[in-house]
Amino acid sequence: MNLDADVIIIGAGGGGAVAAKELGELGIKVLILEAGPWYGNKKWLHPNRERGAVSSSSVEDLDINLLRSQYTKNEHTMNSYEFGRFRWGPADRRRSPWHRNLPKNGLLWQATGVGGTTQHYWANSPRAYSKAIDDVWPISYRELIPYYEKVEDTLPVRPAPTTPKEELFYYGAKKAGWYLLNTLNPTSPGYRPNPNAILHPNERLMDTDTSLEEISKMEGCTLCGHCINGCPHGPSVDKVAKRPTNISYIPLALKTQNVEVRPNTYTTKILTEDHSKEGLRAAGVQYRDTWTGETGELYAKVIVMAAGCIESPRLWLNSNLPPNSWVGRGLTHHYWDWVTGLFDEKDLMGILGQPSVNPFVGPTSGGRLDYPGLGCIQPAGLSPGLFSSLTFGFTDSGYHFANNHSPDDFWDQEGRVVGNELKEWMYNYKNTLSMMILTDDQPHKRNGVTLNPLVKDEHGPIPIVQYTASKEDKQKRTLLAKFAADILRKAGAKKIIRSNWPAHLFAHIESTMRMGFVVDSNCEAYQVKRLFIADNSVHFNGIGGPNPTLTTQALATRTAEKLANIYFS
Amino acid sequence: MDNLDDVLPSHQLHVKHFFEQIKNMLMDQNSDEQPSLSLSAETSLSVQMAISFQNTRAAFMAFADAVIPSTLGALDLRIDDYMVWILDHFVSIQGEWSVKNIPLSSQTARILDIAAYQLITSGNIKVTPDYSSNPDGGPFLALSPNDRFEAIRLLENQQVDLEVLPPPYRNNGGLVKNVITSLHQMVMFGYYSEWFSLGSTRQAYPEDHRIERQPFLWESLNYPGPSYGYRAVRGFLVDKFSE
Repeated sequence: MNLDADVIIIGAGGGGAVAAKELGELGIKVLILEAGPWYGNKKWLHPNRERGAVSSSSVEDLDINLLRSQYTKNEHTMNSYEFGRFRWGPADRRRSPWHRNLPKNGLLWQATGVGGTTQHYWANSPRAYSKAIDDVWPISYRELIPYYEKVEDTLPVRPAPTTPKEELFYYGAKKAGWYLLNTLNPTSPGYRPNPNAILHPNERLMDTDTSLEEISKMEGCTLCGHCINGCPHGPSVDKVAKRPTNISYIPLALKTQNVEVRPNTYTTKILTEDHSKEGLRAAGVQYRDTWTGETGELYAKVIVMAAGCIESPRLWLNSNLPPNSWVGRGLTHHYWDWVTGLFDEKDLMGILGQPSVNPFVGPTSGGRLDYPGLGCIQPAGLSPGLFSSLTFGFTDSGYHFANNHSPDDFWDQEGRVVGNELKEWMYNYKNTLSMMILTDDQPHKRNGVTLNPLVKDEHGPIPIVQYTASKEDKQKRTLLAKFAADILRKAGAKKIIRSNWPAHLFAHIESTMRMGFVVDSNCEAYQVKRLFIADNSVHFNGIGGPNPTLTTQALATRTAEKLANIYFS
Repeated sequence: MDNLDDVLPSHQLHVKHFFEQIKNMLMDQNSDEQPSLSLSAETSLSVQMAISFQNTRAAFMAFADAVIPSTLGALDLRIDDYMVWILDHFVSIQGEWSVKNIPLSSQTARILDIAAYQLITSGNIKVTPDYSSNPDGGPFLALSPNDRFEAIRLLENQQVDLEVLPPPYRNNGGLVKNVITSLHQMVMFGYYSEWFSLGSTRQAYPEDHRIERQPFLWESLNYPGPSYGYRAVRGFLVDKFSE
């Protein structure tokens, strides 16, 4: 049979790009199929307007000027949930997003494009808590360390610098009695700078003789605060300050000259064959071109699914692969919450030597509090549109004024804020600091992805995504919210609001194709040989609460090595 | 603020009169004055509940105005346009031959009106509904801002008769809650992001958007907008992590 590549990888996001680079370096021919567009590549001068080329396999195609013009840093242009450049939908923004079914109040935050969700991730790259891995996962934390180190070195991962909002957070955390940590593997509670996949600021950033525009074209973070809206700052695509995979791993993959990336290509089916010795095995994929609607088939020796925690199980189910009651199930998502404090200018002068927090300055999140067994808390600063809609509009509590408030509560308000009160909060935007809460939620079989056979998009039946928090997860989350409010209060916050985000906020989605249930410890599917998975879905759990991307990237590195040993040695 | 004509797309000019009419009415409602004249709920509902362009627009104008009131509120930035555009373009599903767009603005406006009607007939309103100023608006528009929030609470607490809601909301309490949250987020995201500064292009397809004016709102927040960077390094708490 004519093969189109040795390995086909489905998805050029946080995991797929890593596997591609590792395989390419071993001399294995890789074809990545990506559903969305490719920003910063000369073969697609207008990636949202025209179909452009079919694929790109040369690092010479990458163009920083193009990336700068496309990553505008404007939050509506980039991050409008429905029509932003990072939205979950076809590159052609005249068309609707790909509809996904949430049966409850909430938000499913997927992204398309080369780089996937790492395009708008905050580059927070902590490791899993060893406590959440050892004697829980089929593999140990020690087994992961060399792969963590390799990814931390490649991205690279560095402790975030301190900017005003981090300084305020550290001040409050210390006053609240938490210890400073300086480890990659927290085993006890404490606060530390976020290990971020962001280059350290250029030394000339503080030199007023060089303009900020000039510095934005040099190597290093400029503290512009737009991590979540896409980072275009750097002298070339591969040296951009924030390190999503379209910046970090894809250029390295292209340099191997063994990797071809084909955007605008939606994989609709895994093709299998019955082999006399291996049994059922993956042989190829069926795809659909998102611009033309044309379909086709591509064949390879090994297939790697890296489409994310919703689309990988959906693809399995739509491909009619063998039944496995854990496919799509066991979903964790850190059961997020958000707590925001409002500060007085006088207090801020005393602590920071300036009258405002300016939450829009610095990395979107540069610090964290780790609490193995419970989860994490991260100070965070967003641009005003995202900040207002997520802080005051996104809740499971309804209007705050309709809630009974007890003076014993750790926060002054809970739920949605509207009217003049909203305007007043936003008028004080510059003096707010928010804390994001990531809960160490546990996998439950009831939570996850099923198919809606009646409602289809152009790629088949769409996924329905469900999540109900357990009593224990709710308790953990509330405790974290109290810790967050306490830190804000100790830092001097005069008013605190807990947003109480809906349990159906799907970001940091993990563990829907779990190791030990759907895939073995090499991340190869038990029931389909030569089918591997390299995204968050193989995590056995939510890794204790830390941001999942680094662990996915370490595992993808390991999976590439294992896969090469088994099928290409 | 600048003259609204400068930023209205030409195809919208014909509705400008309607917009001004409703806006003036909403301004009056925001004052504490009681309306001088009102029709009975039953009489007006028969007239009001027919889905019409005006009825839909009016409901979103009333919604936006309640969430971020004047002066310089969400209505001044025409966030009702933003809501209608998103609701009418957001959902597409596979039809027999091709993907089909399912516009949702009129159905969504209708659930607001149904909730408002139920609130009015229950008698649990604080201010008498004002139908007089604009006969083209529905019950939701006729409510005072605080009563609009009460009507929305009926929806999100599933205290409306879900059977009388139009599809896709009929008997789908989860979707109703979902859209109520989305509507609030749309108002806030639309208002505080750069959307209004897209000027005459803001209702065009996204790739035809152009920033035509400075987002004047950000000045009042002391937000400088997208930036090349800030000279804000305050050192490093940890230089290098240990294992």
